[in-house]
Amino acid sequence: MIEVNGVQVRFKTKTGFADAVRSATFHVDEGEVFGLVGESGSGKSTVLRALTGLVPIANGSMRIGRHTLGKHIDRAFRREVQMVFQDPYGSLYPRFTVDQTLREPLTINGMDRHDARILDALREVGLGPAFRFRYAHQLSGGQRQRVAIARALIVEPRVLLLDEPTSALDVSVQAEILNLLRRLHRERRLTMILVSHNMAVVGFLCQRVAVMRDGEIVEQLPIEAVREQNVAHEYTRSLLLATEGYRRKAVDPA
Amino acid sequence: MQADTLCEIDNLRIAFEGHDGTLTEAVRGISLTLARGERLGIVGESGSGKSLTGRALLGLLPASAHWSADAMRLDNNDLLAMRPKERRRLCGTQMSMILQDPKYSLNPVMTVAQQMREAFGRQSPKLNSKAMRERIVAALEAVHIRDPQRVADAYPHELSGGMGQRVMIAMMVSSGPQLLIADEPTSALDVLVSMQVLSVLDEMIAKHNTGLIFISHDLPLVMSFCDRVLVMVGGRVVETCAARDLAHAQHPYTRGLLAASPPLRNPPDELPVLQRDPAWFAEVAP
Amino acid sequence: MKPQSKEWRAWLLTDTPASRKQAALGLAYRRWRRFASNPLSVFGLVILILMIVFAAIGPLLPLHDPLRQVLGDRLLPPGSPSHWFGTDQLGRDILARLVIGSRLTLSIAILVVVLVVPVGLLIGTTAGFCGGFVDTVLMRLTDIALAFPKIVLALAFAAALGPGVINAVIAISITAWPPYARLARAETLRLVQADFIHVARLQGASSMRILLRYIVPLCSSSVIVRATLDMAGIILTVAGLGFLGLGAQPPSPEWGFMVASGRGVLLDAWWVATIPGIAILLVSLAFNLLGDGLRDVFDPRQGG
Repeated sequence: MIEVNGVQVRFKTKTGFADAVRSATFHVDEGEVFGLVGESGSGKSTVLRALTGLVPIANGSMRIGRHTLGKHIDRAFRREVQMVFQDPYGSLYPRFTVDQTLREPLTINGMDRHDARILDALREVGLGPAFRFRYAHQLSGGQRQRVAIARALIVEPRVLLLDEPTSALDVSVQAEILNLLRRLHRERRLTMILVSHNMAVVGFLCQRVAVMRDGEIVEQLPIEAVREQNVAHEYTRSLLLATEGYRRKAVDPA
Repeated sequence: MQADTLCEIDNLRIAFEGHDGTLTEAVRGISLTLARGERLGIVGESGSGKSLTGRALLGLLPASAHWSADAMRLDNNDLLAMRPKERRRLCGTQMSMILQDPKYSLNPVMTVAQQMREAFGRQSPKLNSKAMRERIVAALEAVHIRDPQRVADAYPHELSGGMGQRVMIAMMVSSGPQLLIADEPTSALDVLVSMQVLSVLDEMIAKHNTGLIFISHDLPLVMSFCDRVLVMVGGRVVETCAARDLAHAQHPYTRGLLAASPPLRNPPDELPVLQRDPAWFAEVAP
Repeated sequence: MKPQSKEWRAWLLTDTPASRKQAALGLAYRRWRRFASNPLSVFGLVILILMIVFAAIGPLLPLHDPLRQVLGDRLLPPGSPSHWFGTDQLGRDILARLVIGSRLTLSIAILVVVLVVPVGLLIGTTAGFCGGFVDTVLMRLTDIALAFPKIVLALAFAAALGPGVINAVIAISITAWPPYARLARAETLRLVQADFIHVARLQGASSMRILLRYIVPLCSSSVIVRATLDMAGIILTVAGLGFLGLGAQPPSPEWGFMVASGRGVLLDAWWVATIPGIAILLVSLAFNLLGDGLRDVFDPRQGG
């Protein structure tokens, strides 16, 4: 379904060039949830943005379904691939009500039955019709992410890309959103790529994982291997260890 | 106050005034004690009032806050009765704070050395510039910064997050305050870098036997770093126990919080959702 | 009445509006409440409303004819029985001239703002959004316009086209739009990085749609606030031009011109120049206070 081959993303800096992604190669089957794990600066978010066509690639190729990403992105592609961003406070337009936020993609893509679709979308993400005319600043972080997910899914994409969707949320709210994502994945048979720095979050949703560091994929493995700590690369191992929490040094009762 | 009690807060209340004059209570009667050299974790979600508690101790609440406490003591100093000037003298010498994001907590227009000179100058005003420089470099080495001379002359925006936090620790902890308040010190850092920073912090406070109040939203992290944990919700403490006993916590909120983190091994089909009891947020304690 | 107004308040401030209209009205009401919590801003608004009312109904009021010269009644002090604000050197009633002159002052200020704000907004947002060559060209154009000194340009216009109100307005407008363009461009550059713009692109929105529907409305509030704050300056500039004889011509009761013509008798009859001066001061202050209040209302940190 999704194929990424030797992709390189370059940014121009004041002193020359910087490679955000050096060479990334992976594939995602249809209906699979694929995880991209790494720390900040690893390039995982950049790979995701390149997949949406928001960021140009310097080298390599990317294919989603029938579309090969090139210079020109057509509207059919836009309906197939949608993204949920990390910051719930920045991804909703502040002057729109929830209704307008959900109506925009329908209007842009010339879809019908706006009101019915909006109500369905709200119900699907667990928000009742009472939320329909609230403004963004009247919603909590978790509620905003639900709206962002509803907005992404209202155009009926086949691929959903998620850039650290729960990093900015409290743990209890994160649990609700993760449950929601899991349910949506099952019901709609979506193909998903989830980017996160948190191994446990990735472990909950994903079937396969790629670990990125400094713009490169250092290891790709199925999630069972991660759970059993059966990892090859030492960087992956240190990430897994860190998930377990801090190990206190023995204090000398001197 | 007992001999080895370092810090005591009794019935702290903090409220904020809204546009129309109504008071909203953010902290509703918190009491805690901290022994010398003890590590206390305060865990809560956003809006629980945990950060405000830390700031109240240092006198850093915004002017629009209405607060009161029955008692607030640091090592036999009555913080409530003190004049602001005396209290300021305590800050930086007897008690310190490290904040979440060094990008915002370090002064962006001063180099690291200039800021550290200001911080150390209050504790040891008699040092000449050479001795001060040596002190600064020694402090940076103590937090395992590999190139202390370069870092000393750098500006905060030139440092990575982890390096910035280590500079904060060097500034605030190397002089050995009695009490350190750490407000989400690793929340803005990557997980591997957090471990390094925590390790440095661990070493520093063990060396000086500093009492620590560790404020965070990350319950598993606090459980692994601290001796005792306070769980806050809706401005109140709902659970207090030793860190190792938290797995057998009683309060439904704590149990809910523990269960909400997805476990890496054997994750359930659906994560248990925390049921919020409105009584926790009610005006009068249930 | 009381229970009804409480119901209205509850309806406007509800957490769950049932229609877009209710949500929009609720937002407007909340903004009004925030504005009204600052007494100075309300004071400014009241002054301006009074001024607009007087300007509108001016000709209908039972005042003296502002242009009628009664040489026997020259330089009467304020407080005189039939001339509350006194008369000027030609026996014309100052109160009447003030009220009628307010129409001129107001219309000039509003005309300038109506011309300048949309032009600055459009140029600034286009420059910030398109970037590259378009940005460079538009910004250099802005720099050129910014380099012209207002008064000198007005002098040039007066020399070329003859003095008059319209020419003064044109002269001021040509030099007043650059700051708005710069402001709009700065806001746009910041907004273009925002996630909701990326989302719009991902949904397939055209650049024009993003610019007009997303960016321009968000830039508008800061531009409008800046415009109200600048109104004071514009009124003073118009007055200054009138003072130099470049704006309204005699016998027009424009305030700046009134101050200028009262210069000669300032020591003997202070009221001829000072009273229109106080009027200018009051209106400028009112606009400033209004602008300050509006800026607090539209503060994005509080959900503006």
